[in-house]
Amino acid sequence: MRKLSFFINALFNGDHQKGTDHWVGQRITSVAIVPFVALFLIFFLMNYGSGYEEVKNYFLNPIINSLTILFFVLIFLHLKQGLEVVIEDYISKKLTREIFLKANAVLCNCMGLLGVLALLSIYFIG
Amino acid sequence: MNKHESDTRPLSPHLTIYRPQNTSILSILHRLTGIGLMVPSMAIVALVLTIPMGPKYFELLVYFFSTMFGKFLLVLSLWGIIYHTLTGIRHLVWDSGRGIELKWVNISSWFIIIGSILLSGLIVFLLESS
Repeated sequence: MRKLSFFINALFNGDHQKGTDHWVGQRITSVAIVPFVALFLIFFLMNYGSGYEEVKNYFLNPIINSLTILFFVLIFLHLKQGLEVVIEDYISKKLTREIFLKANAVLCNCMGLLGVLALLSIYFIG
Repeated sequence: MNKHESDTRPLSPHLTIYRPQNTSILSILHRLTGIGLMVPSMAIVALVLTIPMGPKYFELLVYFFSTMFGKFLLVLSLWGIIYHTLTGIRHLVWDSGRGIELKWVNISSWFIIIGSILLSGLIVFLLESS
């Protein structure tokens, strides 16, 4: 149980002051993304050049839809974690750094949320 | 450490005095591709967003990626995704304490450079010929 809460904290808390949690969180998303990248490349290759209806039908498949939701959550978590490290490395002024970290978190979370909402609306509204 | 001190401390990578080696170049590229992959991530979200918005917007996005600039972005993104994944896997292997001898670092570096170019080239070839 303690281990589980540690992983959850590492993934979602995003407290950049806690180095170990951040590091572990980044490894978790990295490992999880690897199979998705392979799937993404295969599906991209298979569906490149498809029209609107085809792509829509494609995302109406519940398995594809939910996998894509998971993919979005993972890549935008990972993007946020990665950019956090970059910001911490290159911006030494404390206030500017805090502003960039906040903006980064908001931007990445919003992009991920937007993608997930779009997928859900394709599936449930059409 | 007081506030003033923390504001004036030097930044970590001193690129101008650093001799380029395949380790440093690949590390920098891993970071750059990581930052750059923001663009295709947003493009995928944009693609998914156009579907509930209607065919008009979808066609507009497809048109953008059929232009020279759009295709350039697509090829670069494809290579970036493959490269960042390969170096990322290598980082995970390193984290497990394996492959950190200079010999293996050099071998895996060339494997990643050649592999990422070949794999993305193959995908572009398959897309173009289909």
